[in-house]
Amino acid sequence: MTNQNGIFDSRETARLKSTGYQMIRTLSIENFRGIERATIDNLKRINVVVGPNGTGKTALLEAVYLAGGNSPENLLKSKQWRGRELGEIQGDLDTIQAALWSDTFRDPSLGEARVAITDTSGDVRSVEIRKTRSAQIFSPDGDSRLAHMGMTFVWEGPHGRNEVVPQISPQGLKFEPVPAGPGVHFLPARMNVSEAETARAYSRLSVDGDPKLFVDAFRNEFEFLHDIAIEAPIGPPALYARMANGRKLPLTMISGGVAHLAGMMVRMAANPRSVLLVDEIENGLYHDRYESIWRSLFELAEHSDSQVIATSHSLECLRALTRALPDKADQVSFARSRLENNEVQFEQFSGPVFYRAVELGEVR
Amino acid sequence: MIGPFNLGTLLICEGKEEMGLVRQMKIEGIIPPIEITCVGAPGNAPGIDALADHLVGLSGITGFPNIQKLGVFADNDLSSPDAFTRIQAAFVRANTQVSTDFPVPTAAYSPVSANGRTVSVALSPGPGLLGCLETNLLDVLAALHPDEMACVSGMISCAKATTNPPTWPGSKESKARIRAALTILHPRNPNVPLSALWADTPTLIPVSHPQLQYLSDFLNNL
Repeated sequence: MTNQNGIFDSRETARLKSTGYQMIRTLSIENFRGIERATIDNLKRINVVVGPNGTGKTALLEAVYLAGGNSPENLLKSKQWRGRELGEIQGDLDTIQAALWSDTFRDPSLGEARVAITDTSGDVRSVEIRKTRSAQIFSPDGDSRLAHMGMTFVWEGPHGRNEVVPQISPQGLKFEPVPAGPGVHFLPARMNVSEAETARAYSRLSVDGDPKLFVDAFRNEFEFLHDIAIEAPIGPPALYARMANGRKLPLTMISGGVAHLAGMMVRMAANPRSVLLVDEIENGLYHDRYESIWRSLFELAEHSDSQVIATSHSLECLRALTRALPDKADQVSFARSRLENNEVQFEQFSGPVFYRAVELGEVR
Repeated sequence: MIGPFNLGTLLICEGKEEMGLVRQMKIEGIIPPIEITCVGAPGNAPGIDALADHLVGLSGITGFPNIQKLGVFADNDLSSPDAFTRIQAAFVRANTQVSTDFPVPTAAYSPVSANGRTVSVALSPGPGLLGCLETNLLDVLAALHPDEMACVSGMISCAKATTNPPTWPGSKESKARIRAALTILHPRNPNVPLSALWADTPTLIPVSHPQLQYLSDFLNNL
């Protein structure tokens, strides 16, 4: 393969492409979060979603995260990333159930939400969230404070079917451990990238692959950082780097932007044929890095046959994408969310149209 | 920067000069509020030949779905039918690349509607006349500044600009005359570009002049 930064070799690319999942081609969403019905088609290697606040951008990412995962935990995590507190659950069963339905469904009276992703081979993977009757249940130790959550999650795809009925307890929601789903990774806008997850991804890369891929791409952006490794001097393992002054610090302590970018890159490098979902991709990154970062992300994505779906509020960041990948317009897709008659709508544009539009003016 | 489009009517001008004039008409309330762009993004072919690319790009600008009436304002130059055919071809070409829902125009000054969207085309210096916007402006200046414009004619004649090789095509000669006129009539900034004239000195070529009535009529009926 060719790549501008000369980081990858073709044998490694071929090895990675022999594992994992196909790229998502089409996403369809029904009655999920604020979205009544939406279909996003012709997704590409790099996909950017823009639009005003409250028009469904994050919900779209959450939909992919939920469908691509295999556990209701993904729904709960995404709620937490939006800032919802997920501590103790209080209230009577009906109130709890109504709140959960209201958070999840565009119209709770319809009784179900569905997200389906179709990949480039035509395989469909879907999740249905069905409203069910909550009921008090008894645990083996006789604790009657458990209850069915009032929602059933059913994943279906080429690899089988998986049904999960979470339970509500005073300590929160409980569900049985389920097999891991495809590689879908979410970097939220409101919270820092999980230091532990970044370290785990790096460790996986180190054990199963070649961390040099990530390290070289990362150092291409931040030349002043070196000696990257997992360290755990006083707590849980984290990814550290040595700075020009000789001090070695966790990436999160060096800079939020550095940690954000490392989080994106290491997940891409460590997870062939995965989907990286990034909410507000420009967060914490200095504007003069945008162009180079898009190039590195594209090369990592192409190398690992992965896909990026990102939201952005930054025109500078969008323009940097077209400058970074001037001859890759056919591998980019662009969507804009908006409210029309109080319903979320997504306008879609091919890469070439997006490239022309961003040259002319305002596309956010 | 173009957009976001919040209004329902968009006028695409062939050049910055046309855009400057129409903006001034809008400021003076001669025409209703409309969105205005001009062809010629960096890297595009100059003039109306870049219209197809411009239309494709516009379709991705925020608020483009709000546009229901689209006008094109360009020059006739040496042939009105040729100028119109190039505009028509641009719409055909753009519609093969993106679905703008805007119909292909069939004749200048004859709005055509489909899918709830209307397209109209105006060609300067007016219906059936050859030349360009500057041709209109020279008429305005001749009426308001006859002495200075006589000097401009003398200069053009003295330099044999219209006859010596390389000869000046008709519309280019109009541009040369305008350049010379602005240099004479704008002592504060003899370099003032025509495109910036109305923002700088709106009274020098008043946009309410009867010679420009055809354009304000067109824009009021988009």
